[in-house]
Amino acid sequence: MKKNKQNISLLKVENIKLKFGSRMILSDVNFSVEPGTITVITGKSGCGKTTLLGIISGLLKPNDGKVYFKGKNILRWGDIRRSFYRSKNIGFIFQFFNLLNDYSAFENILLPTMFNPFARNASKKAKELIEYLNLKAISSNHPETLSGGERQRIAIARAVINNPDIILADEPTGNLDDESAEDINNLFIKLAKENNKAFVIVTHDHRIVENSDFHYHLSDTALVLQTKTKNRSKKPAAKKPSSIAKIKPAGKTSQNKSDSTSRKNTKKAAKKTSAKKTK
Amino acid sequence: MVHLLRSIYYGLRSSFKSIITSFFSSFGILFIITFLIIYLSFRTSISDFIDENLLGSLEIDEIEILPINEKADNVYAASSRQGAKLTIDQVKAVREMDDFSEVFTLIMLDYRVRLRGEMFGNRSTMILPLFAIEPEFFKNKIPKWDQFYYKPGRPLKLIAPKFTLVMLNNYLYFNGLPQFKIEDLKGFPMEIQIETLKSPRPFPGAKIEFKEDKGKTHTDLDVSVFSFTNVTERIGAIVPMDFITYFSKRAEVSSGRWKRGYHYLQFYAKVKDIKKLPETVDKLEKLGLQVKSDRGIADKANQVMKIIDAFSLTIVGILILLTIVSIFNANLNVVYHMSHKFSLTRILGVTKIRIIITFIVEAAIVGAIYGIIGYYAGNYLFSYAAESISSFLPDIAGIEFVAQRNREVFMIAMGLSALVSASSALLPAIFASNINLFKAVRR
Repeated sequence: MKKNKQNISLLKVENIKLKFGSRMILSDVNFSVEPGTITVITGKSGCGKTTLLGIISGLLKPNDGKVYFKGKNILRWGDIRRSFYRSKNIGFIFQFFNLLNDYSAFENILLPTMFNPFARNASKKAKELIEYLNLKAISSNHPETLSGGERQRIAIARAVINNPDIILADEPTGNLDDESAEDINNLFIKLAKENNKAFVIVTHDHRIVENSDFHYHLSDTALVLQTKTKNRSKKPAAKKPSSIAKIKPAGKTSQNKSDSTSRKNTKKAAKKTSAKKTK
Repeated sequence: MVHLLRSIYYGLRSSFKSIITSFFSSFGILFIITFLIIYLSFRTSISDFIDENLLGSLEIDEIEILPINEKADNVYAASSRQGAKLTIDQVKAVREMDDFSEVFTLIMLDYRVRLRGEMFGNRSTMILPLFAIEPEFFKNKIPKWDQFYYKPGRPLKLIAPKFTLVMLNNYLYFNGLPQFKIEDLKGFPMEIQIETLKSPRPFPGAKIEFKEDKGKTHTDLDVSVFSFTNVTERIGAIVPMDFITYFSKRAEVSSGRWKRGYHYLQFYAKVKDIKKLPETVDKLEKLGLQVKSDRGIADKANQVMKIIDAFSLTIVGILILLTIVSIFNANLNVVYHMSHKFSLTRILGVTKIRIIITFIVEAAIVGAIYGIIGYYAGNYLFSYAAESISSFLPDIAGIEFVAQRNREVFMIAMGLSALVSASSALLPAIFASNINLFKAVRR
C-alpha cells in the first residue's frame, strides 16, 4: 500500500480526448508530472496547448480521459471542489501577466489568498516572496507603472503565494525582452529546484525548452515526448512539498546562472551518453 | 480572523467599484419605482374618494339590516325619534343566521345626553344621541380601533360623525381661522351629561356618580375625541359598547327599576357569499327586516378601478420589461468589460456560484438603493403635483391627494426594485461565470 502511494504521480493525464464541434483538438494525450520538474509543451499556435492547461486545471472538461492529481481524478469533481483544487494546488502564470490594475503589486500577490479559505499568514508570505523576488522597491506600485519583467515576477509571486504543487505557465516569456525572459527562466529553475514545484509550461521560448526536464510537442492532436532528462525525472529534488516559509531570499543572478549552466551541462552529458549508446 | 477581515475588505472594495458601474447601468429602475409610487398614491387617493363619496361607508360584502318600518333613505330622522327598533326576537334570529361571517349591532342609549364643549372661548351645549357598536366593526376603518374601550375613571372615548368636522372647518374658514385635520382634534376634551331616572341609590364601587339637581338625576362625564367616522349616517356620537352596557346596568340598579337602558337599532353584517345575497335578503324580509347595500355602486366602482388598475399595471409591466431588457444589456456590457477580472478570479479558484451570487447581490443592492431613492422621489413629486393639480384641474379639487408614506410601500418599492435589478443580472451573471477563461485572459 505504501509502495503504491510512493508510485503515484503528482499529476497524471490519461487518454484525454477533446473535440470542439467536429474538430478534434486533442486525442489520446498522456503524460505525467512529478514534483521539482519542468515540463514544457510546444506546438503550433492554436493546436490546443492552452486548452490542455485548462483541462489540467479543471477549468475545461474533455470529451474523454482522466486527470489524476495525487491519484484522484479531478474531472469527477464538481465545480466547487475543482475551484478549491485550483486555489490550493495550482498556480497560474500568463503571457500578458493578468494583474489587476486597481490593486498594488502587493495586493495582486495577495489576491489568490482571498479565495483560499485556508490561507494563513498571507501578508507574511507575500513579504517573504517580495524579498525573494527582489520586488521590495515596487511592491506598493500599481502594475501599469511597472516593466514587463517586473509584472511577470509579481505574477510569479501571485502564482506561488498559496504554495501550490503545480505551476501552469502559458507563454510566460512571450511578452518579455531577452534579458527579462532569461531572468524569468532562471526563476522557474530556482523555484523548481529549491522549492520542489512542478512546472508545466506552454512556450515557444527555446531557452525554457532547453532547461526543461521533459519536452512534449503537440502536433496533429497528439502529444509526443521530445526529450527527457533522466536524472531529474528519476530523482526529484525532494519528495515532500515545500512551504513558502522555506523560500529563502537569494541573490538575483549568480546563483541562477550557475543553476542554468549546470543544467545545460547535465543535458549535454545526457545527450552525449545517448549518442554513444546509439553508436 | 485577519485573513477574513482582509477578504471582506477586498471584497467590499472590489464590489464598491462594480456597484458604482452598476449604478449607471441600472438608472432605469429609478423611473419605474418613482412612477409606481406616484401611481399608488394617485390610486389610493381616488379609491378613498370613491369610497367616501360614492359608496358611503359600506364595503362590497357589507350590508345594513334595518327594521322594515324604518325608511332606509331617511335614517337621519330615525336617530331622533328612537322609534324603529329591532325586537329581541329579530336580534336573536339574525345572530343565528349562518349567512354572515360577521354581525355587528348598532345600539342606542335610551337616556337623554347633552354634549358640552368649548372652542375659541365659545361654550356650547347640544343634545346628542349616543350610539355604540362592537369595536371590531372599526377594524381597517379607523386607526387603533382595538383601543376603543371604556375604562372607568378615565375620559370616555368618543367617535364623532365626520360631517361635524366639515361643519367646524366651514365655520373656521368663514371666520378666517385655520382648519383642523382629524389628527388635530384627537383627544379634544368635552363633557357629557346623561339624564337618568329619578330616585337614585348609591352603587357600591361604581365610578359613575349619579347626582340630583332640580328634581332630575344626571351623571357628568369627561369625554375625549377618539376619531371621526362616517360609518353610520345617523346624527349622534359613537361611544364604546361596553360603556353603554356598563352605564345602563348602573342606572338600572341605582333607580331600582328594571330598564335595559338601550335598544337595538340595526345590524351591519358581512355576507359570507355575495352571490347568495338575494336569498339572504329573502330570509331577512321574512323576519320583518329590510336590507341596504351599496353592492350595485360598489360593483361599478370596482369595475372602473379594475380597468384603471389593469391599464396602469400594463404600463408598469411594460416599463419593468423594458427596464429589465435595458439593464440586462447594460449588465452584459459590464460582463464583457469585466470578463478579464471574472476569468482571472475563476482561474485563481473562485467558484461559478460565487461569481453568480456576487453579481446578483451587487445588482440587488443597487436596485434596493434605487428603490429607496425612487420611494422618496415619487412621494416628493406626487406631493408637489398634488399641491398644484387643483389649479390645473379644478374638477378634481375635491379629491384629497395623499402621498403613500408608509413602511409597507417603502418595503414594496425597495423589494421590487431589488428584484427587478437582480432578475436583470441573473443571465449576465451566468454568462460571467461561463466565460471562455483563457480567451478572456489572453485578450
